[in-house]
Amino acid sequence: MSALLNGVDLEALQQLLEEVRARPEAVQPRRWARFRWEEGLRGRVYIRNQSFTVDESVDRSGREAGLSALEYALGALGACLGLGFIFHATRRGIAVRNLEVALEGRIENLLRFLGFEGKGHPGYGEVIAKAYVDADADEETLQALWEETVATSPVGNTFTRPVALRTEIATVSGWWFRYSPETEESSPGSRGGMPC
Amino acid sequence: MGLVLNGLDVEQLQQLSAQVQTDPEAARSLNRWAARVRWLGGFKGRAYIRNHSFVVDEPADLVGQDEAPNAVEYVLGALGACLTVGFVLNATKRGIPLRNLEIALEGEIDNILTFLGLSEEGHPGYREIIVKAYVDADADEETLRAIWEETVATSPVGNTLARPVTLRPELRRATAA
Repeated sequence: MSALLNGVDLEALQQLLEEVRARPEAVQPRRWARFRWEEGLRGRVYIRNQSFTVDESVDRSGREAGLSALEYALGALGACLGLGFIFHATRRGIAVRNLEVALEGRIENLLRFLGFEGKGHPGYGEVIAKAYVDADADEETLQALWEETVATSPVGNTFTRPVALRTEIATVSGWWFRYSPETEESSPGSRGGMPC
Repeated sequence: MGLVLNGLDVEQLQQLSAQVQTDPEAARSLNRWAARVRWLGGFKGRAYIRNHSFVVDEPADLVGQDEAPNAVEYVLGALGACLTVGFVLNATKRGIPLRNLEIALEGEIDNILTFLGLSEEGHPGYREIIVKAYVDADADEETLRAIWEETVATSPVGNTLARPVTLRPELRRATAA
């Protein structure tokens, strides 16, 4: 094991950067996620060999592995579209037997994240979202529901429109971190029932 | 418990719709979501959302807890995790040791009522996200600020959110086997 800095293996990092520099085409610019509805406002996002549950109701469990931030964003979009569809279908009295959303996100140029110069930005340029639904309704009704779902999706709109990011940094001393965010009181708001 | 459809209490659903329609305060509270991400070392961090949390890491390593946050909260967590990983990457590349790093996020939805079909104004996505990084490191303020600026400019999730993404949705009707 080589030198560690901030818990990062410097040699491994260096190696990665070298590899990418030598073969930029080997960097996979796509991320995939799938979302399967389970029941009510609960479903599970599947990414690689991992998955996590997205649930708006109370007292649910399940979560296995850490995924990269871009994958979580993709999973969030799938969950939002899937649960949004359930939300709209339910309001119209349509019974859904099965629902799955498969996503593929295309990053413009991930190399920019690693500090390389080049065209484009390191975010998703395009995301393809395919919904597969088995429900008691004709095709036309389901297509209309899906269009409504996409048009009114919170995460969907967050993706398709530019969000203003207001960022700032503060340097603080060690004592600041003694306080754990885990102990923070959360307000007992009733946010259950919001699918996105 | 009223009529249940697709595992949902329909009456409760209608009550919620009615509540946010008549109570602007309830609607306002739904427009705002908050998340925090704390760096755990290496490329690992934990996102804190209400009383939930999840770990974001490159190869996985996670301690499970209980309930899951919702989709818009995951987006905030993802942004915080992305900026954390980026900051650690950029600081490490410059040989700067970090002791602690935390990112606090607050996103504001433009108008959640449009999601519920109760308004035509605005949209139900995030309008603005405020991101605050708290760092404890062996470097002067100027250096850390430069690293932070570089991190924000090159953040994959940051760029995804700050720029319009083309969404290509499609739906296929499937039948049970």
